[in-house]
Amino acid sequence: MPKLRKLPGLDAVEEAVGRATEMARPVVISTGIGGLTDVTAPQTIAGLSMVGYVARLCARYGARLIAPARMPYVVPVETEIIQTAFNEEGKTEEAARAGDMVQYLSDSQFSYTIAYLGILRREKPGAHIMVGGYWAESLQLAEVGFTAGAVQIAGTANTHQIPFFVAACDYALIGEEIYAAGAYLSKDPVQSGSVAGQDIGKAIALILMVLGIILNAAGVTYFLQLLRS
Amino acid sequence: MNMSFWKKLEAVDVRLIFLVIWIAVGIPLLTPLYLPLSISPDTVKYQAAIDALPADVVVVFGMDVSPAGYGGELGPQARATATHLFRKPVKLIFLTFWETGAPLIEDVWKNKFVVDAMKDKKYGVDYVNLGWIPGTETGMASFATDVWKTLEKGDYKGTKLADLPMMAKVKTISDIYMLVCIETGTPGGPEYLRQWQARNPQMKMLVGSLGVSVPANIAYVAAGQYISILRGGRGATEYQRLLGIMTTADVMGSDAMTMSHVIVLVFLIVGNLGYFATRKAKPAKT
Amino acid sequence: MSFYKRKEIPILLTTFIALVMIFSTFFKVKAAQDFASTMQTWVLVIVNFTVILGIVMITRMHKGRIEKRKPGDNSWIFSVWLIVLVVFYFLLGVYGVESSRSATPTRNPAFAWVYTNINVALDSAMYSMLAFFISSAAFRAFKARTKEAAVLLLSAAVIMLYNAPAGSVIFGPLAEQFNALSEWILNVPNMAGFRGILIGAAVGAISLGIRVMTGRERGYLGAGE
Repeated sequence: MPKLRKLPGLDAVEEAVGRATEMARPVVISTGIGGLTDVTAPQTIAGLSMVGYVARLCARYGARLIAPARMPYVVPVETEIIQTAFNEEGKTEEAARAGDMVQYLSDSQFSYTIAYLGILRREKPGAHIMVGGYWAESLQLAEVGFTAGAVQIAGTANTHQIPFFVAACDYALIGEEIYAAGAYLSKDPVQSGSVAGQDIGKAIALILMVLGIILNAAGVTYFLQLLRS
Repeated sequence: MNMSFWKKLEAVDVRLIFLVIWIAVGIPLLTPLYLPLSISPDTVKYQAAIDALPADVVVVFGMDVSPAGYGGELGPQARATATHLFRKPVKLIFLTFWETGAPLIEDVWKNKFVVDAMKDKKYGVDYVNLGWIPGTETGMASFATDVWKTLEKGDYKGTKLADLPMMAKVKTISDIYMLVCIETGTPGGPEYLRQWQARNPQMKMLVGSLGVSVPANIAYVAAGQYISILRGGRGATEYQRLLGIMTTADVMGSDAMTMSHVIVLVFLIVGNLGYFATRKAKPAKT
Repeated sequence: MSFYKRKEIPILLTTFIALVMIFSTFFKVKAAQDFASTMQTWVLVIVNFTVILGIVMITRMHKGRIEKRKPGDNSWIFSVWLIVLVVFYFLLGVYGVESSRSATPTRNPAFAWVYTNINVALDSAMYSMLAFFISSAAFRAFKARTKEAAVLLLSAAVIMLYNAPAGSVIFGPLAEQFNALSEWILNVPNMAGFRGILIGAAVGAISLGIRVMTGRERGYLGAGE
């Protein structure tokens, strides 16, 4: 099985949930404001994988889980994931209340944000996990999460928001690290293999880039025209 | 300054920080400071690209904004760009792939400089508003392959495209000369690149973006995919200055932006001074 | 296991439709493109129907809060206000569509007024809160704990001043050199970093897509096997 390098953000998830349990405070997890029907879908799917993992930990340790959601069609998916997680941990009574754990706030970005900030302020979570597509609300969520006293683990592939998460959160997952979360946490050999394959893909891209630079500098633009046509 | 001062500073109530920034940004919003302004090369290039538009070409104005982005940095960009485009003898198509952008197109048209620039233009002949096209990137792909099929509903008022003379020559993306996209986020520039410019590599692109998106958008300018970008609020201010349409309110906004940047820098410096001062004061181990 | 709970069916469905969509992008086969176009329309319809689901969920949640209100806790009043506003806005939208005889309610002046003067204003206010949060983050979190952090901080300070409309002018005769330094930071190290992250994220998304299509990534279907 390919060995994946350590991702401190993912290693810290269990510790964060444990901390929240000890402090008798809830865990708040969100999958961002992206949906499942557009270019941000991979980020939302990565976030949903994280929801499943965190829900399992909450069921195991007995922590309360709150999952604010923006897109209404993500809510049934997230509810099903949480319900399955709680059922698999033998917590059937809590599983029946999975629908109350997922809170649809609003379709509008900043209406969702202000409601989310209200949840953070009122509930004062012990752990705040944000993995998915985030835009302008990222720093607001991270800062209010900090003032609420939560341990924060965040990750997004939106390049313009990564610096805010890196600066304001305890642990940050940068770019493609969120896509590796499923493989890293499940330790499934095939998934880990696909992550290794992803690295090979990047190496190929790098080689092609260097070749392209050399060829272009030498005045050979045939391949450039071929790709453009 | 003694150690307790730095320790107190490190532990200062965050509301005091908010108060300082509120005052710093509030003063220029009450009275303009007329701080000096330099013009960046990107804005000059943006203006020059629109100035160089040949007559009778079709330009798409993509108003892909949210209310939040429009209220701050993108509204001034949109109004300045629309003013400049209406001054040129080109055919304009206003549209958006954000449902929140549709009413904001009409809001741009209400600006006094835009009204003045469009006074000799005729709707349907010189400009149209196709409103919101649903489907985000899928909608863009659909528009690129068949404009008339995508817009069977007609324009934003429901007028069929057959009744809009300028749309007779616009069937696919190959008929578009330039796209000017004022974007808040996704879908935005990269989506247009994938769906429009990939199908029509000759199509020129200008993008007005939020300040926070500029570092990401610079890569597309360097690659030649965008001709240039407007860099957030600063870009809007520079563009208004170049076009000679800067009002007192715009000056106040520009000054407030400068003050907010300077204050954040001050906090950065003070925070680090405090960090180094308290770090040095750790007791020696015995 | 119940037929409807089996995970193989959604995985097969996902794989089939994804393959047809990819095929229709790269090959001009009319049947595939028509199918892809139909699927895209279905997705739009389903997504828009889930707005109704959202309204039901919001109403149910806030109705629960009103019913479970405790003495001394007046937050239930906001739940009442929210439900009133949901109903009001819905009726205004229907009125807007009917009175303007168009699919866009903003053609109606009343709806347009409410949208421009309430929605836009409130959204702008929320967005402007970022200035306060950036200030508190700058004071609290942006510390030069390591050499790399110090380099990052210096670059951030330079770019912040460059982005300010009057930022470079404060350097007086050195303004041109300051602008050149800022442009270099943006166009060289910043662009290199962003390109790396963009390419990595794109390859990662492709890899995730392949895992989803082959059924190896099942996190979005429910935890575990």
